[in-house]
Order: sequence, then C-alpha cells, then structure tokens
Amino acid sequence: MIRRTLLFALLLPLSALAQLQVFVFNGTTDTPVGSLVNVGAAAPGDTLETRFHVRNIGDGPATLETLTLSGQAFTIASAPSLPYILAPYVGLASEVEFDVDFSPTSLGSFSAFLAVNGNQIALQGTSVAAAEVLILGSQTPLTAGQTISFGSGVVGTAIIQNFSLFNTSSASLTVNAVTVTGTGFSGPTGLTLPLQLGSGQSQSFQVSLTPEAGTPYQGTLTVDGRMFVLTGQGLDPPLPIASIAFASNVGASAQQNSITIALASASEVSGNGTLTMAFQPSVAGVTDDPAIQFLSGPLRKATVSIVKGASSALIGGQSSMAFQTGTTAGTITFTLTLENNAPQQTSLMIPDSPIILDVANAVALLGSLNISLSGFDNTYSASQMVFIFYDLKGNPMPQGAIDVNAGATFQQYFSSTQAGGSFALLAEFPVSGNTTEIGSVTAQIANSAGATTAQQIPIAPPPAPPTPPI
Amino acid sequence: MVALVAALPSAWPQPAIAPPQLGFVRDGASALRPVYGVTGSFVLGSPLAGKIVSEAFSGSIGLLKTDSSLAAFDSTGKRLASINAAGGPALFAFSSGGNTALAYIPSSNSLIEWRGSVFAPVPANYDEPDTVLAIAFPTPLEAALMVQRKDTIWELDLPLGKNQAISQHALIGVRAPMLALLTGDLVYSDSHGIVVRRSDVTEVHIAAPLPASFSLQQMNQNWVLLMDLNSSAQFAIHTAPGREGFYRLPE
Repeated sequence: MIRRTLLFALLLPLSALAQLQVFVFNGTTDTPVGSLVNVGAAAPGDTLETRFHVRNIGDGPATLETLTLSGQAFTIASAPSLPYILAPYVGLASEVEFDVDFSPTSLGSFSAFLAVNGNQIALQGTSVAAAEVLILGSQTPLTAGQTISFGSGVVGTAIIQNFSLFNTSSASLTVNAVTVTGTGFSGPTGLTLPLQLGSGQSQSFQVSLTPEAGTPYQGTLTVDGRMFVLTGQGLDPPLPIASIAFASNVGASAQQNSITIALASASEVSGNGTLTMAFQPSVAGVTDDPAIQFLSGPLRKATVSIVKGASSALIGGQSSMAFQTGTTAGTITFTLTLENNAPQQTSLMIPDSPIILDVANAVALLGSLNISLSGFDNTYSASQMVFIFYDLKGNPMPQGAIDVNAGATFQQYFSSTQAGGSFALLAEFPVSGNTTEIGSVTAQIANSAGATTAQQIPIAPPPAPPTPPI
Repeated sequence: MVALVAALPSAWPQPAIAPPQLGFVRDGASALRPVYGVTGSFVLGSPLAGKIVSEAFSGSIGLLKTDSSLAAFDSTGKRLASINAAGGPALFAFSSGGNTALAYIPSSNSLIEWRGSVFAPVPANYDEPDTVLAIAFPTPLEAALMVQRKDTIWELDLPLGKNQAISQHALIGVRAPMLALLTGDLVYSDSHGIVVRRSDVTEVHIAAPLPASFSLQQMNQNWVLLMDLNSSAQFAIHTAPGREGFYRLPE
C-alpha cells in the first residue's frame, strides 16, 4: 500500500512533464522548440522579444509549475501566475504564453537556460554592432520597438521628423536597409544606402508624415531589421473665421431681418455648428417675446453647415436665415457655435420706441363710434390717449379733446398676453345724434418713449347688411 | 346737432384690448390657424381645424373647404355652418363688405353663396371648359370668374340667379396664379415679385423673392397668403394702399 502511494507520487510530475510542449510563436504560427532556441541578433541597448507558447498535449489536465530563466541579457518579460493549469490543447485559447526579452548591453554572444517544468531549453542571442538610431538633437538612442510620435499636423501639411544614424562602435559599420512603411509616411530622405559609417560618424535623414485626413496614423521605420513604431495624428484644418452679418443693422421692433454667416476665406474643410438666438427684454417684468424667432425651422435654433470650398455658411440649409424682431424692446443675441471654435456672439439692440400704429379705423354705428387701433408698444407703457373728433368740414367738434388714461387697462393686458407688445384696441364712443355728421377723428396715444398720433382717421359708414337670398 | 356723450375722461369707458389678429392661414399640416401680430411681427396661433383643403378669410368671416364639406367660420375661428360639398379644393371670393362670400368648387363646377348665416347654391348660366383661376364677388347679383384661355386670362362676369348673357373681358398683363380681392384689386406676380392692380388699373409692384410655384389666398381684408407649393414656407402680402409689403410668416 505504501509502495503504491510512493509510485503514484513519483509518476504524477513525470506525467505532467510529458504533457507540456513549448513552442516559439512568431505572431502567426507556433513552432515546437527543442533544447536550443536562437532568438537572433540585437544591437546593444535594443530589446528583442521572443514569444513562447506552452500547450498541454495530453488527454488530461496538466499544471505549469515552473518557469525560470538564468543567464545574462535574457529576462522573462511576461508570464502567467503559477501554478497554471492547462486543459488538453484544443486551440489557441487553451495554451499559455510567456515572453522572453533579449536585451544585450554590449557586443558578443549571450546564452541562458529556460526551464519550463522539467524542460530545459538553452537560449542563445547575439549582440551585433549596429548604428544607433536617434531623433536628431536627442542624446538618447532609440530602442527597437520604441514608438516615435510625430505629433499632430493639419491635413495636407507634412510633419518632418529628423533622425540620425550614429556609429558608436570602434569599427566602421554598414547600414544596408532603412525603410519606412505606413499610410501617410514617406522617406527616408537624405540617405544613400548602403551607408558606410566610420567609428564615431553619424548621418541624418528625414521621415515625413503627410496626413490625408483628421485621423490617427501609424507606420514603421526599420533600420537593418530593427523596427521602430511611428505614430502621428492628422488634424482637419480649422474652419475659417466666421462673421455674423445682418441684412440691416438697424435694430427696431416689428422688422423682418435676415442673417448670413460669411467666412474669412474659402473653407478647406466641411463643418457644422448651430446658430441660436436669445432675447433679453429691457422691459421690467417681461421675460420674453414669442414673436422673436427664426422664420423657418426651430424657433430659435438653426443648424449651420459649412461645405468644403464654400465662403459662407448655410443656415438651416439656406444661404440666409430670416428672423423677426418682435414687439418688445431689448437685446437679441445670436450665438454661433462651430466645431472646435469658441462660440461667438452678435447682438441686435431693439431700442424703446413710441407706439407704432399698424391699423387705425373708425366706423360709425347706430348710437356710437368705434375706433380701432392696432399696433405695438415695445415699452409696455402705453397710458394717455387723446381723441379729437372733426365734422365733415374738418373742424373740431365742440367737445374738444377727450383724454383718457388707459394705463391700467394696458398694464392688465400686457401682463396676461402672449402677443408681446402688440395690441388691438377698440374704443367705443356713445354718440347722441347723427353719427354721419362726424367726419374723422384724430387719435393720440403715448408711452414712455413718446406720443404717436393717427391724424384724421376717416369715419366709415356702418357696414351694409347681407343681401336677401335671390 | 351731434354731441359726444361723456366728454370727461373719468366718464369715458376704458377701451377693450386684445391681441391683434391678421387673419387665418392653412399651415403645412393642413390645419386652420389664426395669425396674430402686426406688420413685420407675426405669430401663429393654435390649430383650430384640420384636414383643410382650401380656406380664405375676409376680415370678418371665413370659408374653409375640406375634401367633403364647405364651412363658414367667424373671426374667432368658430364654425358657423357647414354643408356637404364635392371633393377637391375650392376658390373663394368675398363681397365688398366682407360679410357674404362665394365658393366655387371646380370638381362640380358649382357656385355656393354664404349669405351671412346660411349657404345657398347659386344657379348660374355657366359651363366653362377652361381652368378657373380665381373668382370675385363684385356685386350681390354678380360673380366673376377669371379663366385661363391660352396665354390670356379672361374675366367672365356672371349674373347670378338669372339666365342672362355673360360679359367677358381680357385681363391683359395678368398671369396665374392670381387672386381677386374684395376691394376689386387683383393680385398676381411678375418677374420681380408681386403686382397689385387696383380697381382703377393703377399697379403697385412689390419686390419679392417668390417661390417657383405658389398659390394665393385672402387671409384678411388687406392681407394675402402666399403658399409655397414645394415647401412649408408661407408669406404674407400686405395690400393696403401705401402699406404694401412682402413678409415671411413663421412656420
């Protein structure tokens, strides 16, 4: 019984050992390794990474328990936490990876021993003399695999990066191949290959990135097999400076105006934005005037689009956007917001004005005169009214001027209406006698900005009743 | 002897004040909507009726046509009466006082009169094969039909209710679309904008960027609605003498 237990304990590691197989992975395929792996050559200061895969080629589970490395210039760069249980191999997902870096610091041959459970694998690498690659002006050599950022640049404009090749060894060396790949990247320029570099000599060259779109760019620079990653960012050219212009710069109520957006130059790029309008009344207690709005699309917000090559923007799909100024004094502010640009504002002041009368009618009815006044008071302060009636010859009627303070009535109206400062007033005057002898009436109405007079409004006869059916 | 009662301000009654109304329009959703405001500052009110095919407003009464009915409404938009009517649009005209009106329904070639409280079909001795562009209601006993005959628009003066001869004359220089107002004025377009031909044959030209195709309808006594037939854009034409102008209405 005791002997069986000892035998089982001895056999278990052997079984696990036999089940694990180590592969070198080149990024696409796995190649089984034997007892020796040559990782290749690297220049002093470079790092050459080798990727290994471990598979369980048995029928049952196996445990990766040991992963060690001993030797100069080699290190395990990444590895799974141990112990690591591997299921029988059925595909990529069932294997485990560890990476070994070869980073020589001097010329010569290097070796190390890699232990994977009981598998002993010898690693060999060679450090060869190679020109150092530097960014011109920098004292720090680039290491293979290092990323060099070109920064960002406007589409169509080349970003040039200067490099230099420097022979730090005591003997001359030859650079045989320098290549650049990647969309947008070009070069090298300034090199004639093969390049002979004596000890201590250097040679500069350039690589350029010319972005074709506002997107990230990535490429490679390879110097005799040592690859460096190149990155950059394309930037769309900025939209030209835009300026808001009104068809009329005269601020007044009850105006239909239009707005255009001119560009300082033809745009090199398409772009979008918004144009909003906001209103700040100058009338105390008034918060808004719904008549102040764009005349198409959403009331106070319009889309702005700039087409490549255009010298003006489209507002709501049109070359200009009509708006109206309402009937309330205050400030209308337009805010233009374009992509990647700070918002800009332009205001149109609507000053206080005396009442503007749009319609003034008078009609004689049986026993009364009705006077209709339609217009707007953008100060919301209408108060004193004066009416003077005239006979058919144009002479004032003997009653003289009739004054009325309608301030309270107007205030009550303005406090409840949604019509801004516009109003339609009906004044009914009881009359005794023949109303047809009254020829006209002059109406004066005042607000805080002044008085407005509708002179000699003719008094129309009563409307005829409908004719009887034929 | 005429005497104004209440010569003292304290005895004079306060005026009635309300939002000014500029008429009615048919909006892009075929709804009847009041227009409030003053010249140059318009606000559309809430929809009052839907499925409108045609509408017009004189300043005191309005007519509207749905696909199957003809109705009259007052200045508040309240429906006064309606009758069944043949399908399709209608043309409207108002009498000079604005209280009576005519409707012409092309699909049935029929005239219907609004007499202030009821609709009444109007017998007329008329059988016009040409396209009727507009109608007018110049007198209580007469209708006028503006018809397109080749390149010329003719006005046919049609006695109502009597089997009398039709008189006709060419409206030289007028082109479709056109509208006859209750004032007797004609509204049409030229290459520069809108033309208002007064009843005394003088013309007022209003510069305006006109849509490629449009219709005209009376929206108030001194206002004409111009509807862009290819978009939801609507415009208001002010036809009052001395105040003529062309404005865009909010959508």
